[in-house]
Amino acid sequence: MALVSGIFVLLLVICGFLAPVISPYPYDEPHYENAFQSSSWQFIMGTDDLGRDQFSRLLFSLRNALLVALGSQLVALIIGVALGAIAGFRGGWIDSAIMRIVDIMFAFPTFLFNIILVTVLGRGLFTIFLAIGLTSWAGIARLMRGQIMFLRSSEFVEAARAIGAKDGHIIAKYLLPNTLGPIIVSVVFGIPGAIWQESGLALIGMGLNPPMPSWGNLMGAGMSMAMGFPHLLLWPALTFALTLLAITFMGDGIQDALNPRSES
Amino acid sequence: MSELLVVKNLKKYFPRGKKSLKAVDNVSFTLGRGQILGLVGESGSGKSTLGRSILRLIEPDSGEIHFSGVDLRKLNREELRRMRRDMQIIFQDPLASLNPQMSIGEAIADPLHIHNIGNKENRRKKVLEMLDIVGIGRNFIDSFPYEFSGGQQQRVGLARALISNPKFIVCDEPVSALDVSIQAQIIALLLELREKFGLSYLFISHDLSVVRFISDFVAVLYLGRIVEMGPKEEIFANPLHPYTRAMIMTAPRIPRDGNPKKKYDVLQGEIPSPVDLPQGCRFKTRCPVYSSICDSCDPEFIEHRDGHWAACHNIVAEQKVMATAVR
Amino acid sequence: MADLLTVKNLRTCFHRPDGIVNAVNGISYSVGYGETLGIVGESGSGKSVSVLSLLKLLRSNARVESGEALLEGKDLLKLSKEEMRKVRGKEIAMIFQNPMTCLNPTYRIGRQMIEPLLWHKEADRTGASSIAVKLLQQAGIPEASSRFGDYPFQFSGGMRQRVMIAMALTCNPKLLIADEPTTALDVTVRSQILNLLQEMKAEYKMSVIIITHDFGIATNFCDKLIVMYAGRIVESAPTVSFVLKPQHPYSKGLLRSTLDIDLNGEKLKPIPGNPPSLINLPSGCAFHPRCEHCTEKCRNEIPELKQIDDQHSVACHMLQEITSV
Repeated sequence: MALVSGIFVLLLVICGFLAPVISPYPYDEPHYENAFQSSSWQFIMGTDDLGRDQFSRLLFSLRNALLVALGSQLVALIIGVALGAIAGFRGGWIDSAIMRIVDIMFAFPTFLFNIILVTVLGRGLFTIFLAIGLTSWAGIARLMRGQIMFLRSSEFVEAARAIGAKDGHIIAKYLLPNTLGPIIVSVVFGIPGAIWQESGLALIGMGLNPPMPSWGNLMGAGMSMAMGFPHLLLWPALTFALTLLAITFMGDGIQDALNPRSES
Repeated sequence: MSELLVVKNLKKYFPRGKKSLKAVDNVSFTLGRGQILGLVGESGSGKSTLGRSILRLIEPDSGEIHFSGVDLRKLNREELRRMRRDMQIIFQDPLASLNPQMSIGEAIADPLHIHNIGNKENRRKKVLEMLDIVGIGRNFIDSFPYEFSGGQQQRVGLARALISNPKFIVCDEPVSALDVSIQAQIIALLLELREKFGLSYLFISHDLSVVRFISDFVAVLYLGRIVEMGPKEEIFANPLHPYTRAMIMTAPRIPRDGNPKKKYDVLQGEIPSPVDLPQGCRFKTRCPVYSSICDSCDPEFIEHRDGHWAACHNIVAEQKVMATAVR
Repeated sequence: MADLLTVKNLRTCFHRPDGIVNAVNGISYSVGYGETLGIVGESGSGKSVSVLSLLKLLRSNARVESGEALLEGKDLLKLSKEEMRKVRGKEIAMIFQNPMTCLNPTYRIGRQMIEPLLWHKEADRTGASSIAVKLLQQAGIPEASSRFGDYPFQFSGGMRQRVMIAMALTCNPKLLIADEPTTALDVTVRSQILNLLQEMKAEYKMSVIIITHDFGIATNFCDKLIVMYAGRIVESAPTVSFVLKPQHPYSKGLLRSTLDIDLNGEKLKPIPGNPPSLINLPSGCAFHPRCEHCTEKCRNEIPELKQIDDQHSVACHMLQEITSV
């Protein structure tokens, strides 16, 4: 299951990156005479109100979604790993302070926060990275801290101290490499969440600027026209759901593969 | 004569609520160059804590540790770190002591990196030499710890400990987790290395037979305190403390004369909790020669014979009483 | 008189993704009534797997490929799950190495002890409780009736092992299997447990199989020994005969590697090399890469167990040479 999903996701990623190359039409090219068409040979997934090819728009929205996902996860990763490692390694009041901030982040209504950030920073790909990244680092931080605390007391870390290693050396060569597994898994599982958030923002009009397509605004537009033209909602929603599902299954598979103790 | 290691009145207590766990309770001993001190104790005796406290991997609460003339407790973090080149440790669980993400070549070379010894080329050369010395094929240099057996992992641990040219190695139950035939290999290797490099060991074990074989001197640890110490042969020929005697007498032996022993001598009574030590002598709950004086005060550690020390009120009376008391 | 347990040609394999592990490669032995058999070997010898096979306590990827194990005429290997459950605890009881992990920490020990009695319908609740308390007393637990209601964490390691032994004896089994019963215990506690096993064995007229790597224990406690290496029996003998005249190079090597507290100054002669991989067993005699007497025949042919003396059997091609050495 995980393997199939993995291959599917890989295909999606390739499509997404090659979007400008493989999409039959530019995403913003209107074909007024062909507006509101459902699937045909000319327009595989039909057209929208301005006659833009849905398939092309989907490809581009896939691309944007992936960019947002990866970008935001990168932001979350950097912040989460840094704060989590410091908290786990140092302990004491630093640990308490950081963990309280983490607790606050968890309690926060992230979506609201995202809206605020986008309003303040303006719309655009980069600010969306930042907004989503700034609200999703907490999980990684907590995970990292737990890992570091656990590893800190393991015998090979004691052995490292015994041969005279400095703290920095211990963190870099003994702790971090051993935390990679769960962190990677966490990031992979975070991707669907990020895409979801971005789509949510787009749905309410706070996402990427039109005519730049995103799943969110495709679905939003589709919802309002669903009664007359179901294909405008069907394709975006279907592909959205399948993609998120596939990423989740893939993440599951990675988790099992990386966990040396899980036996089938 | 300048001793390599002098430990005086070392203490390490762990707080447990209002009480404290007296893991290391006033331990003193000395160790010369090229000598092996065997430290025998059961679980709860504090032997692992003692080994680590000497190296300041666990910070002792009080006492003195003089290594090569330097007072270890007075060193700051950086000085201590650099001192670690000369004093090393090998562990009971060899796999757990190796970083799963580092190849054995990287692990063995790490001390050289850390202390800035040599450069890239001659570090690799040194690692290969080390592999030869400990008996691991050179072609394994890029393999990872999980690919090796327990005995080989322990050899890797040894190589890592030796590469910085230490004078002293704490061996914390290094063979307890290994198969019998491999134990023998590792013990033989340790002795060979001692000869070759003039090393000193603090050899910690619960196994009297191994300790008897490898040590020059023996110290017996009971609930955080050394109850007997002396040259190996003296200890085994004339054990003074009832605990030492009991351990020696109750150890199962292969009946090479063809007369198996169907019933063993045993030590009666229960071992007290290290958090709740009894008044007076801590061995009194199991002691075959217990008398009323053992309730009132802790016996002093006195030199009874040349170099042979013991802490017990009833040593003189022992010889006759032991035979009947241990059933 | 017939034997209590007769095992013939037991073969057990594990099916792992990287290959088939031949854990037990055709072993045969017997245990008489009131007899104590010692199975001696190191890790990977197959000693634990061989007895777990008898009780169907193996993991799901293990398979008993062939053989029979007759307990008073009944083949254990051919029993159904339900029939096996009736045997476990009642006819054959087992105690394990680590008493800490074998007792359920959330139940009082009294409750855990009466469970087998209730399952096998040996007694009702009250009757079972008094049997259990009596056993605890016999096992040397002071104030047994009050300790009956204690939890496992309230006992020390040695005490827990006594509780395990008492538990194993509740239904008066004919055979007790002890897998490294003293390895996890302190040195001064080991002798106590061994004495207890001896007493219980005599009192309840049981046969005992004890698995151990410790020759000190095996050679004193057992009536006869089998030495296992890479899933096969390499030597089998009454204990006295084994101690006085060990035959197989591996047995001799092990005895030489075992440091005896009384012997000192003897040069240690370890067995060179490492135990073999059970997926890729060496050809011929599995011990040949480490044996100083190895010849061409040893590399090619697997030696069979041959009787050389009264009940003393050895699996080695070089017997003639060795016995004369």
